[in-house]
Amino acid sequence: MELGPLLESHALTARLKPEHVQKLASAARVRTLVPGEAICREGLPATTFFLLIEGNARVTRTAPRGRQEVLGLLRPGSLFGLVGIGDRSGRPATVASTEPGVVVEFPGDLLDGDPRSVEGHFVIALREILALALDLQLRAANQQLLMRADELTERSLDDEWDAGTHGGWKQPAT
Amino acid sequence: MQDFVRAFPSVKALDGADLKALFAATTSVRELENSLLFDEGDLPSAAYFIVSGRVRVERNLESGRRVPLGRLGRGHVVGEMSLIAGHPRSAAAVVEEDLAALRIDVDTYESLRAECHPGAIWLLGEIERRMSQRITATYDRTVRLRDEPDLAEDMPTDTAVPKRWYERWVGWLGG
Repeated sequence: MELGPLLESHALTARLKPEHVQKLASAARVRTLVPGEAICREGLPATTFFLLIEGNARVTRTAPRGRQEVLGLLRPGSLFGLVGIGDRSGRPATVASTEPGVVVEFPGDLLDGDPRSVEGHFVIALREILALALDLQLRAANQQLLMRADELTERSLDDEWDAGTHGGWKQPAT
Repeated sequence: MQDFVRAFPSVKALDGADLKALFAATTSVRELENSLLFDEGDLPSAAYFIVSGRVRVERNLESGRRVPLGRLGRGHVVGEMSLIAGHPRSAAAVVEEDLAALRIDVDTYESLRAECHPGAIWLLGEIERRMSQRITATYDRTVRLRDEPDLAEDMPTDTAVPKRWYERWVGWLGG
Protein backbone atom coordinates (compact mmCIF):
# COMPACT_ATOMS: atom_id res chain seq x y z
CA MET A 1 0.00 0.00 0.00
CA GLU A 2 1.36 3.43 -1.01
CA LEU A 3 1.04 5.49 2.17
CA GLY A 4 2.68 8.73 1.04
CA PRO A 5 -0.17 10.03 -1.16
CA LEU A 6 -2.69 8.89 1.39
CA LEU A 7 -1.01 10.87 4.19
CA GLU A 8 -0.58 13.89 1.92
CA SER A 9 -4.32 13.96 1.31
CA HIS A 10 -5.34 13.59 4.95
CA ALA A 11 -6.64 16.78 6.56
CA LEU A 12 -4.14 16.64 9.43
CA THR A 13 -1.04 14.94 8.05
CA ALA A 14 -1.24 17.14 4.96
CA ARG A 15 0.22 19.85 7.21
CA LEU A 16 3.53 17.99 7.17
CA LYS A 17 6.31 18.78 4.71
CA PRO A 18 6.80 16.12 1.99
CA GLU A 19 9.99 14.80 3.62
CA HIS A 20 8.17 14.49 6.94
CA VAL A 21 5.32 12.61 5.25
CA GLN A 22 7.88 10.17 3.88
CA LYS A 23 9.44 9.73 7.31
CA LEU A 24 6.03 9.05 8.83
CA ALA A 25 5.11 6.64 6.05
CA SER A 26 8.37 4.73 6.34
CA ALA A 27 7.82 4.15 10.06
CA ALA A 28 4.26 2.89 9.58
CA ARG A 29 3.01 -0.67 9.74
CA VAL A 30 -0.11 -1.62 7.80
CA ARG A 31 -2.49 -4.05 9.51
CA THR A 32 -5.49 -5.75 7.97
CA LEU A 33 -8.39 -6.20 10.36
CA VAL A 34 -10.99 -8.86 10.82
CA PRO A 35 -14.36 -7.99 12.38
CA GLY A 36 -14.12 -7.68 16.16
CA GLU A 37 -10.34 -7.44 16.20
CA ALA A 38 -8.99 -5.16 18.92
CA ILE A 39 -6.73 -2.51 17.44
CA CYS A 40 -5.75 -1.19 20.88
CA ARG A 41 -6.90 -2.12 24.35
CA GLU A 42 -8.01 -0.09 27.36
CA GLY A 43 -5.40 0.00 30.11
CA LEU A 44 -2.42 -1.02 27.99
CA PRO A 45 0.35 1.57 27.51
CA ALA A 46 -0.17 3.96 24.60
CA THR A 47 2.99 3.11 22.67
CA THR A 48 1.59 3.52 19.15
CA PHE A 49 -1.05 5.58 17.38
CA PHE A 50 -3.22 4.75 14.37
CA LEU A 51 -4.87 5.96 11.20
CA LEU A 52 -7.92 4.02 10.09
CA ILE A 53 -7.81 3.49 6.32
CA GLU A 54 -10.71 1.14 5.60
CA GLY A 55 -13.66 -0.11 7.60
CA ASN A 56 -15.21 1.18 10.81
CA ALA A 57 -14.17 0.67 14.41
CA ARG A 58 -15.96 0.93 17.74
CA VAL A 59 -14.60 2.72 20.82
CA THR A 60 -15.60 1.19 24.16
CA ARG A 61 -14.70 1.72 27.82
CA THR A 62 -15.40 -0.43 30.83
CA ALA A 63 -18.07 1.01 33.14
CA PRO A 64 -17.78 0.60 36.94
CA ARG A 65 -19.74 -2.69 37.00
CA GLY A 66 -17.78 -4.21 34.14
CA ARG A 67 -20.26 -3.30 31.42
CA GLN A 68 -18.71 -2.21 28.08
CA GLU A 69 -20.01 1.22 27.12
CA VAL A 70 -19.77 2.36 23.52
CA LEU A 71 -18.19 5.81 23.29
CA GLY A 72 -18.19 6.26 19.55
CA LEU A 73 -17.66 4.88 16.09
CA LEU A 74 -14.53 5.64 14.07
CA ARG A 75 -14.64 5.94 10.31
CA PRO A 76 -11.89 5.83 7.69
CA GLY A 77 -9.58 8.81 8.14
CA SER A 78 -9.76 8.74 11.94
CA LEU A 79 -6.44 9.38 13.67
CA PHE A 80 -6.67 7.73 17.10
CA GLY A 81 -4.78 6.04 19.95
CA LEU A 82 -3.26 9.41 20.88
CA VAL A 83 -4.44 9.77 24.48
CA GLY A 84 -1.45 9.18 26.75
CA ILE A 85 0.98 8.72 23.86
CA GLY A 86 3.33 11.38 25.29
CA ASP A 87 4.08 9.52 28.51
CA ARG A 88 2.93 6.06 27.38
CA SER A 89 0.19 5.97 30.01
CA GLY A 90 -2.70 3.51 29.85
CA ARG A 91 -5.18 3.80 27.01
CA PRO A 92 -8.57 5.11 28.14
CA ALA A 93 -10.59 2.88 25.79
CA THR A 94 -10.54 -0.16 23.56
CA VAL A 95 -10.90 0.28 19.82
CA ALA A 96 -12.05 -2.74 17.81
CA SER A 97 -12.97 -3.16 14.17
CA THR A 98 -16.62 -3.78 13.36
CA GLU A 99 -15.93 -5.10 9.86
CA PRO A 100 -12.98 -6.09 7.67
CA GLY A 101 -10.64 -3.13 7.41
CA VAL A 102 -7.16 -1.69 7.24
CA VAL A 103 -5.36 0.40 9.82
CA VAL A 104 -1.91 1.98 9.80
CA GLU A 105 0.06 1.86 13.05
CA PHE A 106 2.77 4.41 13.90
CA PRO A 107 5.35 4.00 16.68
CA GLY A 108 5.05 6.52 19.50
CA ASP A 109 8.81 6.95 19.64
CA LEU A 110 8.52 9.13 16.53
CA LEU A 111 7.66 11.81 19.10
CA ASP A 112 10.85 11.35 21.07
CA GLY A 113 13.48 12.65 18.67
CA ASP A 114 16.01 15.15 19.94
CA PRO A 115 14.51 18.58 19.20
CA ARG A 116 17.91 20.05 18.37
CA SER A 117 18.77 17.29 15.89
CA VAL A 118 17.75 17.27 12.24
CA GLU A 119 14.53 15.60 13.39
CA GLY A 120 13.49 18.55 15.52
CA HIS A 121 11.13 20.11 12.99
CA PHE A 122 9.55 16.73 12.28
CA VAL A 123 8.93 16.07 15.98
CA ILE A 124 7.36 19.49 16.50
CA ALA A 125 5.18 19.22 13.39
CA LEU A 126 4.01 15.74 14.37
CA ARG A 127 3.24 16.79 17.94
CA GLU A 128 1.19 19.72 16.63
CA ILE A 129 -0.83 17.36 14.47
CA LEU A 130 -1.45 15.08 17.42
CA ALA A 131 -2.56 18.06 19.52
CA LEU A 132 -5.04 19.02 16.79
CA ALA A 133 -6.33 15.44 16.64
CA LEU A 134 -6.67 15.37 20.43
CA ASP A 135 -8.62 18.62 20.29
CA LEU A 136 -11.05 17.02 17.83
CA GLN A 137 -11.29 13.95 20.01
CA LEU A 138 -12.05 16.05 23.09
CA ARG A 139 -14.83 17.86 21.25
CA ALA A 140 -16.29 14.52 20.12
CA ALA A 141 -16.04 13.15 23.67
CA ASN A 142 -17.86 16.20 25.04
CA GLN A 143 -20.56 15.81 22.42
CA GLN A 144 -20.97 12.13 23.28
CA LEU A 145 -21.25 13.00 26.96
CA LEU A 146 -23.96 15.54 26.26
CA MET A 147 -25.89 13.15 24.05
CA ARG A 148 -25.72 10.44 26.70
CA ALA A 149 -26.92 12.86 29.36
CA ASP A 150 -29.70 13.96 27.07
CA GLU A 151 -30.84 10.35 26.50
CA LEU A 152 -30.83 9.62 30.21
CA THR A 153 -32.68 12.82 31.00
CA GLU A 154 -35.29 11.99 28.39
CA ARG A 155 -35.74 8.50 29.85
CA SER A 156 -35.96 9.90 33.36
CA LEU A 157 -38.53 12.45 32.22
CA ASP A 158 -40.59 9.73 30.56
CA ASP A 159 -40.52 7.67 33.75
CA GLU A 160 -41.62 10.59 35.88
CA TRP A 161 -44.20 11.60 33.32
CA ASP A 162 -45.65 8.09 33.28
CA ALA A 163 -45.69 8.03 37.06
CA GLY A 164 -47.48 11.37 37.12
CA THR A 165 -44.96 12.77 39.57
CA HIS A 166 -43.42 15.40 37.38
CA GLY A 167 -43.16 18.48 39.53
CA GLY A 168 -45.88 17.08 41.77
CA TRP A 169 -48.57 17.58 39.11
CA LYS A 170 -50.62 14.76 37.70
CA GLN A 171 -50.22 13.86 34.06
CA PRO A 172 -53.21 15.17 32.12
CA ALA A 173 -55.53 12.46 30.79
CA THR A 174 -55.10 11.83 27.07
CA MET B 1 9.80 30.89 38.31
CA GLN B 2 9.70 28.56 41.32
CA ASP B 3 5.90 28.84 41.48
CA PHE B 4 5.70 27.96 37.80
CA VAL B 5 7.92 24.90 38.24
CA ARG B 6 5.81 23.78 41.18
CA ALA B 7 2.62 24.14 39.12
CA PHE B 8 4.13 22.39 36.08
CA PRO B 9 6.70 19.92 37.47
CA SER B 10 7.26 18.28 34.07
CA VAL B 11 9.17 21.41 33.03
CA LYS B 12 12.03 20.19 35.20
CA ALA B 13 12.90 17.86 32.33
CA LEU B 14 14.35 20.90 30.55
CA ASP B 15 17.93 21.72 31.36
CA GLY B 16 18.64 24.91 33.28
CA ALA B 17 19.52 27.08 30.29
CA ASP B 18 16.49 25.96 28.27
CA LEU B 19 14.18 26.53 31.24
CA LYS B 20 15.57 30.03 31.76
CA ALA B 21 15.19 30.80 28.06
CA LEU B 22 11.60 29.56 28.07
CA PHE B 23 10.80 31.56 31.17
CA ALA B 24 12.46 34.67 29.73
CA ALA B 25 10.37 34.39 26.59
CA THR B 26 7.12 34.43 28.54
CA THR B 27 5.26 37.06 30.51
CA SER B 28 4.00 36.75 34.07
CA VAL B 29 0.46 38.06 34.29
CA ARG B 30 -1.84 38.77 37.19
CA GLU B 31 -5.52 39.34 36.65
CA LEU B 32 -8.20 40.16 39.16
CA GLU B 33 -11.41 38.26 39.69
CA ASN B 34 -14.00 38.89 36.95
CA SER B 35 -11.39 40.03 34.42
CA LEU B 36 -11.91 38.80 30.88
CA LEU B 37 -8.78 36.93 29.83
CA PHE B 38 -10.05 36.59 26.27
CA ASP B 39 -13.42 36.56 24.60
CA GLU B 40 -15.10 34.15 22.25
CA GLY B 41 -14.29 35.14 18.67
CA ASP B 42 -11.06 36.95 19.59
CA LEU B 43 -8.11 36.32 17.35
CA PRO B 44 -5.70 33.87 18.99
CA SER B 45 -2.87 35.68 20.72
CA ALA B 46 -1.57 33.60 23.62
CA ALA B 47 -1.93 30.60 25.89
CA TYR B 48 -1.91 30.91 29.69
CA PHE B 49 -0.22 28.45 32.04
CA ILE B 50 -2.05 28.84 35.35
CA VAL B 51 0.16 29.11 38.41
CA SER B 52 -2.62 30.03 40.86
CA GLY B 53 -6.23 31.14 40.78
CA ARG B 54 -9.07 29.86 38.65
CA VAL B 55 -10.51 30.56 35.21
CA ARG B 56 -14.01 29.81 33.97
CA VAL B 57 -14.33 28.89 30.30
CA GLU B 58 -17.69 29.83 28.85
CA ARG B 59 -19.55 30.27 25.60
CA ASN B 60 -22.15 32.71 24.38
CA LEU B 61 -25.53 31.37 23.38
CA GLU B 62 -27.67 32.94 20.69
CA SER B 63 -29.92 34.18 23.47
CA GLY B 64 -26.98 36.19 24.81
CA ARG B 65 -26.67 34.03 27.90
CA ARG B 66 -23.19 32.72 28.77
CA VAL B 67 -22.86 29.06 29.67
CA PRO B 68 -19.85 27.69 31.58
CA LEU B 69 -17.98 24.86 29.86
CA GLY B 70 -15.52 24.18 32.62
CA ARG B 71 -13.14 25.55 35.22
CA LEU B 72 -9.36 25.43 35.10
CA GLY B 73 -6.92 26.04 37.94
CA ARG B 74 -3.29 25.64 38.99
CA GLY B 75 -1.33 23.43 36.62
CA HIS B 76 -3.81 23.78 33.77
CA VAL B 77 -3.39 25.54 30.44
CA VAL B 78 -6.07 27.75 28.95
CA GLY B 79 -6.24 28.93 25.35
CA GLU B 80 -3.63 26.39 24.30
CA MET B 81 -5.02 25.64 20.85
CA SER B 82 -4.41 29.25 19.85
CA LEU B 83 -0.72 28.38 19.61
CA ILE B 84 -1.34 25.69 17.03
CA ALA B 85 -4.67 26.04 15.26
CA GLY B 86 -4.79 29.77 14.63
CA HIS B 87 -8.59 29.83 14.76
CA PRO B 88 -10.55 32.55 16.55
CA ARG B 89 -11.24 31.70 20.18
CA SER B 90 -14.04 29.17 20.47
CA ALA B 91 -14.88 30.23 24.03
CA ALA B 92 -14.28 33.03 26.50
CA ALA B 93 -12.08 32.77 29.60
CA VAL B 94 -13.12 34.73 32.68
CA VAL B 95 -11.03 34.97 35.84
CA GLU B 96 -13.05 33.45 38.66
CA GLU B 97 -10.37 33.71 41.36
CA ASP B 98 -7.43 36.13 41.19
CA LEU B 99 -5.10 34.67 38.61
CA ALA B 100 -1.33 34.33 38.33
CA ALA B 101 -0.24 32.77 35.06
CA LEU B 102 2.54 32.58 32.56
CA ARG B 103 1.46 33.98 29.22
CA ILE B 104 3.02 32.54 26.08
CA ASP B 105 2.31 34.61 22.99
CA VAL B 106 1.75 33.04 19.60
CA ASP B 107 4.80 34.92 18.27
CA THR B 108 6.92 33.59 21.10
CA TYR B 109 5.80 30.07 20.39
CA GLU B 110 6.54 30.55 16.70
CA SER B 111 10.09 31.66 17.54
CA LEU B 112 10.67 28.70 19.84
CA ARG B 113 9.23 26.42 17.20
CA ALA B 114 11.39 27.85 14.41
CA GLU B 115 14.59 27.18 16.35
CA CYS B 116 13.35 23.75 17.55
CA HIS B 117 13.79 24.93 21.12
CA PRO B 118 13.19 22.14 23.66
CA GLY B 119 10.75 24.55 25.31
CA ALA B 120 8.46 24.21 22.27
CA ILE B 121 8.51 20.43 22.65
CA TRP B 122 7.72 20.80 26.34
CA LEU B 123 4.80 23.13 25.60
CA LEU B 124 3.35 20.66 23.11
CA GLY B 125 3.87 17.76 25.49
CA GLU B 126 2.10 19.63 28.27
CA ILE B 127 -0.82 20.50 25.99
CA GLU B 128 -1.07 16.88 24.90
CA ARG B 129 -0.91 15.64 28.51
CA ARG B 130 -3.64 18.01 29.68
CA MET B 131 -5.91 17.16 26.75
CA SER B 132 -5.37 13.45 27.35
CA GLN B 133 -6.46 13.93 30.96
CA ARG B 134 -9.56 15.84 29.89
CA ILE B 135 -10.53 13.21 27.32
CA THR B 136 -10.06 10.38 29.83
CA ALA B 137 -12.11 12.27 32.43
CA THR B 138 -14.88 12.89 29.89
CA TYR B 139 -14.93 9.22 28.86
CA ASP B 140 -15.07 8.22 32.50
CA ARG B 141 -17.97 10.54 33.17
CA THR B 142 -19.82 9.23 30.12
CA VAL B 143 -19.62 5.58 31.13
CA ARG B 144 -20.60 6.38 34.73
CA LEU B 145 -23.70 8.35 33.74
CA ARG B 146 -26.06 5.39 33.65
CA ASP B 147 -25.17 4.39 37.19
CA GLU B 148 -24.77 7.91 38.50
CA PRO B 149 -27.39 10.06 36.73
CA ASP B 150 -26.65 12.97 39.07
CA LEU B 151 -23.59 13.58 36.90
CA ALA B 152 -26.02 14.95 34.33
CA GLU B 153 -26.93 17.81 36.64
CA ASP B 154 -23.91 19.93 35.78
CA MET B 155 -23.53 19.26 32.08
CA PRO B 156 -21.33 21.82 30.42
CA THR B 157 -23.93 23.32 28.10
CA ASP B 158 -27.62 24.04 28.08
CA THR B 159 -28.36 21.25 25.60
CA ALA B 160 -28.92 18.89 28.52
CA VAL B 161 -31.37 19.06 31.36
CA PRO B 162 -32.85 22.55 31.69
CA LYS B 163 -33.96 22.97 28.08
CA ARG B 164 -35.62 19.54 28.01
CA TRP B 165 -37.48 20.17 31.20
CA TYR B 166 -38.52 23.58 29.96
CA GLU B 167 -39.79 22.21 26.65
CA ARG B 168 -41.82 19.55 28.43
CA TRP B 169 -43.42 22.07 30.73
CA VAL B 170 -44.20 24.54 27.99
CA GLY B 171 -45.60 21.78 25.76
CA TRP B 172 -47.78 20.42 28.50
CA LEU B 173 -49.11 23.82 29.55
CA GLY B 174 -49.85 24.65 25.94
CA GLY B 175 -47.33 27.47 25.94
